[in-house]
Amino acid sequence: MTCRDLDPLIYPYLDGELDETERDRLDAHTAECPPCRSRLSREAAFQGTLRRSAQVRGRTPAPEALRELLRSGIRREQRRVQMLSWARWGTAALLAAATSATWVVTRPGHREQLLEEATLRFQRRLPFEVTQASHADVEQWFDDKLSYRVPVPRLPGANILGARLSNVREHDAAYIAYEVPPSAIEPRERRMGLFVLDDSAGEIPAIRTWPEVSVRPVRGFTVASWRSGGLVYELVADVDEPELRRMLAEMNSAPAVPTQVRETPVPVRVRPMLPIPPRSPAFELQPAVLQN
Amino acid sequence: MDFRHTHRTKQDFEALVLTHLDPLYSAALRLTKNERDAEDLVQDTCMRAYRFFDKFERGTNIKAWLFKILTNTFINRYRRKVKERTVTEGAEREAVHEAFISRDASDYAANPEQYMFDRLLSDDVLRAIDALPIDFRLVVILADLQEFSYKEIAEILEVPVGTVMSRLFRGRKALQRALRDYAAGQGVVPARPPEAPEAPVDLEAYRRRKAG
Repeated sequence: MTCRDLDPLIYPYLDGELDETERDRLDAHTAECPPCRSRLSREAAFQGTLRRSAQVRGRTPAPEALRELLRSGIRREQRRVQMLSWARWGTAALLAAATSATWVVTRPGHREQLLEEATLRFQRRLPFEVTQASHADVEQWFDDKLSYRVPVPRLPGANILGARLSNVREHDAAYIAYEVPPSAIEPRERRMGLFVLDDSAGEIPAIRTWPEVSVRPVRGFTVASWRSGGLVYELVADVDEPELRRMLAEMNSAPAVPTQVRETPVPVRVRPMLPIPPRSPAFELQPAVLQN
Repeated sequence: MDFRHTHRTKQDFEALVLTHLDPLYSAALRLTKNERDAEDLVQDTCMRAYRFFDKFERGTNIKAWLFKILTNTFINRYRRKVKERTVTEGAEREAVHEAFISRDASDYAANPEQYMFDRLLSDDVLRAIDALPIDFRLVVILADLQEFSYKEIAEILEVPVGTVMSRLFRGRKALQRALRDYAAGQGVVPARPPEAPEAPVDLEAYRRRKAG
């Protein structure tokens, strides 16, 4: 190594960027060459001053206000990205998100989605797969179609209109439609739709166990929910809460009717299986956002 | 759309990025030279980083990645704005002279250079850094303030390592000259004749020569 070589090596040396051989070579040279040695020590002193100054005085902590600004900026950005992703699902999704700003922040839980979807499916009145059937017929019909046995409740004063396979979000469901014929007290015909979901894994939270029932209004309907024997029941009805509660209380106090015993065979009309229709976009919107 | 993923991303981001906020802010302050622009620059940087966070390879150098975004953002957006302000910098330089108060020169004779550097105030050095042309200022900030390696600086600025070395060499030489001139102006050290232009730094050429 010669004195001429010092120039390109001096900073890499001081910055710790030289490999061992190069460093040794430079050390050996400066040990024998006083001018280069003094040059190196000058540069080292300058380097020390520069780094010290830069680091002691140049390290300024970020203002707390900036830190807070960034946190809220991240939150805002997150919401923006979510809105964009919803927009991809269609205008209705965007509207839904925009009209309920709080919904965006506090997304509805799984529970609310189930209720929403149940009422939407209730409203759609899809054709039944089995009609003019007794409770026992319906139970039998479901038997080989679902992985679980569906006990069909007897709702006081209500007749079974029909039944079909359905689903509520990711859960397979048995769907049984009832009607309450007009009476002297209530001249209007009332409809009810019952979804029976398998939840032996206990994935659906916050549902009481029969005979306790939670009743709440959803999208203009009244929905009663309860759990019994590993199954979750969602009963959507176009009646008000007191009437629905009265019916359920009556159902609870009625003596259990053995469903297997049937005195006169009733002809059962079974329709060919209908394919489960694809979900409408309206379903995809809110609930689909939360899938996975 | 996966909420849990977003949630995790946000937590990761806060944990990873906000810990580097102080270095980012310090560097931004040296680049923009004022607090308001520095805050804007850091905010811009972080929001960009958040948007591109999925592109960031986990386990790699997040600090270097953030500084890359910071310098790019600065160069693209703030440089012109800051350039307009350089007109006023002459006045600032006067302030540097005032700060360099006359000092006891008793141990000056032993090693004038050493003496001078020891007597420099940190603020003087910082102001000298701030007065450097942007390309030199960037490498000095990254190397001496943030202590990035040459390789990291090369990645941040997207230039070859050789360019980093040559800019660092010239930047530091310019700093030395500025500070020496300044000290001479204050009568701390005698004025020196201008040095001969330095040979370009070429460590690679040296290595090739050695290897050959």
